[in-house]
Formats: sequence, structure tokens, C-alpha cells
Amino acid sequence: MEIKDISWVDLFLGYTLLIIPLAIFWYYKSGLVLNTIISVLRMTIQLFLVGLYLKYLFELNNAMVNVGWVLIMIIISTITTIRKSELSFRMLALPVAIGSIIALFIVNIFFLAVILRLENIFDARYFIAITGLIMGNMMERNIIVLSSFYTNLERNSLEYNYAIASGANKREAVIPFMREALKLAFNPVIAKMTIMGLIALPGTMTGQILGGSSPEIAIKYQIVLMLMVFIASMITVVVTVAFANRKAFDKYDNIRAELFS
Amino acid sequence: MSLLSLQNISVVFNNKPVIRNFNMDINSGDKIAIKGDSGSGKSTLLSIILGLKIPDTGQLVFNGNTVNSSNISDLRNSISWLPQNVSISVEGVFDFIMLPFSYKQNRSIRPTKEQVNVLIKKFRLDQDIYTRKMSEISIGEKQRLLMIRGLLLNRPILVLDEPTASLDSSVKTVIIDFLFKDPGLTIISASHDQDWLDKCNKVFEFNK
Repeated sequence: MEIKDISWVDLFLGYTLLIIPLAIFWYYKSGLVLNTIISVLRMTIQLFLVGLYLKYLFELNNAMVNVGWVLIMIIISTITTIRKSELSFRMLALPVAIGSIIALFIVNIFFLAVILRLENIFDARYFIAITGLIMGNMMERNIIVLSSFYTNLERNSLEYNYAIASGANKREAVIPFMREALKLAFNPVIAKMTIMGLIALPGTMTGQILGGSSPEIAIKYQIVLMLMVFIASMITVVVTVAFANRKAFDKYDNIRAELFS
Repeated sequence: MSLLSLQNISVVFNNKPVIRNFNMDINSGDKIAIKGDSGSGKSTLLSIILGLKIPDTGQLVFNGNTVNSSNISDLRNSISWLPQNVSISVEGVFDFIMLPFSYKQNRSIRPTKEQVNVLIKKFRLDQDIYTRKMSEISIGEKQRLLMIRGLLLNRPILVLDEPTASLDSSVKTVIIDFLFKDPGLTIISASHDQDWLDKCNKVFEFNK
């Protein structure tokens, strides 16, 4: 089955409907009209650029280039994660990068080599696309966990100190903070899985069906990818926090003020 | 030899000296109170004694050893800290009391429910308090639960921050009598309460 292309005119038609949300934002004086226009423009430019380099990467299909591209994605994701968490770049850059690399290594190997049994796991069509999908989700969870975990530790330092003074080691004393951060980050993912297919058709599945796959194949990809995203996100946050905690606390187990600078 | 010695302790906060060249020797069994206005450095000093804050200058000597990162756990594991008020992420009262005994360090001294009950009764709390949630209890009840937790840890030094602030007078008398009757127990406290201060053998005054 051949996919129906969207002509440039039709694509432009898609933009015209934006007048509805923009009018509503304007009516309520929300101050979001300009932000929306800028976001749509950015999205358009970024996606066109992505389309260009993906076309180039797919044609080239060179393992080294693909791995290099994933490393660039990791660097960008690391910078974005720390900037959005509003924490010290110097202290967290390495932990976030290590967390991403370990999670991607485990999940990519498992998905591409064990489940899909690809002959070339660095095949751009799979390696780049799957890594991008997983990394975007991982980054979102990592931002929530890092910012919630360390902000709460700073805000409720009395609870942390009280645990330390009551005999807890650092690992035990941070458990309540990690528990809350994990709940905050993963409850939406769990909720999303609970209603998946009932209320919303997930993006991967929709994309595959539009691309000509049978619903059966699309469903299987969606399930496995959802699981991989969930697992990779969990690995990355746990590894990141484990490494970050080595730098975030001083030798007396007090949280460093520089972490928030 | 003093049990704990604070030598030339100074702390600067926002370029202002909060504590300046403070010295104090604490012997085993001492009952010490620090009084003073809010912001005079009482809580900061307690944090230093607890090993939770490192002074800018000066040193802490515990059992003859200068406290540093490699032996700070010796100091921390000898002190029960009873803060004035603290939020703990547990729901039930019994879980609140037992939380420190889930830590590896304290598992071997986990008290029985009977041992907890003795203190619940002694501190004039209702026996049905276990069935309640932490969010449902009063500040005075919470303060007594903090004391029970601290005492069950069975450590030789108690550090208390305004221990009688939320207690009514009859309960206060019972608790003061209970804590001060043990001659071996070292008490270091920040307090404004004259009844409490009268029981202490050393009182330090902090001024802004």
C-alpha cells in the first residue's frame, strides 16, 4: 500500500487552522500568541532539517556515522536536560551523559539485536529512529526526576538531615526523595499505558499504519517500543542519579550548594 | 577528657559572623542549654554539634578525636536529635516511630511494640495513637513522638531544639523529670523555657 503524500499547498492549508487557537489565545490576552507562532516556526524549520539529515543518513547508512550522530544526540539531550533542570552543568554533565549511554546501550542491544534480530543493528532506519524515540522520552523523565529530586532535597533538607542524624546512610536518607521523584516522572507514563488504544492511538502505531504496515505489526512495534521507552527511562534516571549523587554531596554527606548554581 | 569539645568555632553567613570563636566542653552526663534570640546562632550551633554543618573555622573533638569526614559517623551515631518540628514522608504513627530502625545501622536495636508502648504511656499519649495518621496529630503529640523515636535509638547524647515549646505544663513536667533523671545521659539543648533551663547544669547565652 502506497502512502498518500501531502502536497506543499495542503501542508500550508494545515497551518491555516492555527487561526483558531491563536484567536482564542488573543481573546483571553494570554500572551501566548507570539510564543505559539515562534514554536510553530521552530518546529517547521527543525523538522525540515531533521528530514534533510535523516535522508542523508539513510542514504549513507554508515555505522560510524550513525553512532556519531547518536553521540551528538546524547550531547544535545544532556545539555537540554541540565538546562531544564536548572542544576549545575559542571556537576551533572557526565552523570547525565553516562545515564543516557548506559540506558541506550542496554535497550538498543536488546531491541535491535535480541527482539528484531537485525543483521546490522546500526542500520540507520532502525538505529537512528529507535534511538531518537527512546532518547526523547528518556530526556523528559530525566528532567522531571533530576529537578524534583534535588529541589526537594534542598527544600526539605531538614528531613534529609534528620534521617542522616537518625542513622541513615546517604542512600537510605534519599529514598523518600527518589520515591517522590519517580512517582512524579513515571505516573504519567503508567497512566498513558493504561489507556493506550482506548482513548488515544499512539504515535508510533499511527505512523506505521499511515506508512502502510498492517495494524498487527504496528501494534507489536508499539507495545515493544513503549516497554523499551519505559525501561530505558528508568535505567537512565537511576544511573544518572547514582552518578550525580557522587558529586552532589560533600564528604560529610551534605548536599552541595553549588549544585543549584 | 571531655566527651565533646567545641574549639574556636566560627560561622559566617552572608558575610556576617553568626558564631565567633565559640568554645564549649561537654562532659558525659552534662545537661546543657543554649538560650538566645531567634537568629543568634543556636540552631547553627546544634547543627555543628550534630555534624550536619561544618564550621568555617575551629574544630569539634569527640572522645579525643578531631571530627572529620572519616569519623563523623562515630559522632552522628552517638547522638539522638530531636528537632522542634520536621516533616517525614510516612503516613502512619507507628511507621514514623519505627522508620529509623529500618536503617541498616539500627536494625539490630529495633524495639518491640511493648517497649514503644511504655514510652507512649510515659509521655501521656493515647494508646490508640498508632491507628492515626501523622497528618492528624497535634504539634505537641508530634514533639513527644519525636522524643520517643530519639530515646528508642538509645544513644548517649540527646540534642534537642526547643523541646518543651509545644507541650502543656503537666506533660512538660513529666518529660523534664524523665529526661533529667538519667545521670549518664548527656543533654544539649536550645531552649527558652525557664523550667527547662533551671534543670540544666550549664547554660550558655547567645546574643545577636
